[in-house]
Amino acid sequence: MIPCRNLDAPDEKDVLITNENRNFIRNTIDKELGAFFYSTIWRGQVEQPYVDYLSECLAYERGLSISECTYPAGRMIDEILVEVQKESEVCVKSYKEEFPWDIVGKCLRDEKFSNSDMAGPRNKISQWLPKNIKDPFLSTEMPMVIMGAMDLLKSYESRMHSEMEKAPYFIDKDKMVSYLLLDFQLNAGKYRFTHYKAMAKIVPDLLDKLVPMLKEYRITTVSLKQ
Amino acid sequence: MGREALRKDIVAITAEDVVKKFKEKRQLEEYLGLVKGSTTVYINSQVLDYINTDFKASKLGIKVADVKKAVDNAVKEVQK
Repeated sequence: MIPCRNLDAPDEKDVLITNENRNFIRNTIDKELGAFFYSTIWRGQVEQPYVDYLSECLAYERGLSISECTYPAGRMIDEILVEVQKESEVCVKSYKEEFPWDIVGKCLRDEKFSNSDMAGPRNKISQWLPKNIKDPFLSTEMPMVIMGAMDLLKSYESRMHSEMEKAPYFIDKDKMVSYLLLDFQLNAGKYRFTHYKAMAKIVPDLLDKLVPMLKEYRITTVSLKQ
Repeated sequence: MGREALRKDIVAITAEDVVKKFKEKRQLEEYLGLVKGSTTVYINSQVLDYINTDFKASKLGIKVADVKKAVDNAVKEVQK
């Protein structure tokens, strides 16, 4: 097979950095390594065995030696992670510009809900909210995170009640952000890695808006401790 | 190093990451009052299931016994 080279590259060591080779590496990541590779995002760096593995795949595919593929593979992997970062920025922009908080309010504000009833607001968030959102990221991930936050606050409140703690109740915002992000990482985030990157920026703001709403509509009595 | 050995290294790195994540999750759950009493057994089984099922270790050609070994080592490493 003919190797894909960019003979116009300014530096000889960059001749293997081409769109074809980058696409090949991204396809190999998605088809073979999947969540194993994207879990490196949690670490913030790509470990050497991932680079070596992908170098070997590229070398085999293009009929090259592994040693000549190691440097360009490392560079192209970094570029792929930058692409992932950019894709996540689009999600954050959609959240900031398009997320319909007024509809979230409508889901939560229903006189038929009793104070202890979580099923009503949960159902509305999971079923009605996505129907009112076009953006695929906002319609799939946001209801899930909102429900996660509601469940967490309700559990925390129940614990406070059962331990006879005096109201008002406060929950540490940093701990709640960490928990929701970990929960997301260990569920949807492992596949939809760009969504996880976006969620890390969204969740603190989401809690600042959501927790007061839940209090206002008497779904929980817990406040955030900043 | 061949691909087989590299795959095992990748699983080992991931196992260590995932053990840390589940441990952190468990600690947060304890703080938030969602569960009581941390158990290593619980974390072990969660991590094993997670890597086999959710990460689809078999797709990478890694056998269940090798994943178990990687998880056991990761748990020891994280406890150090």
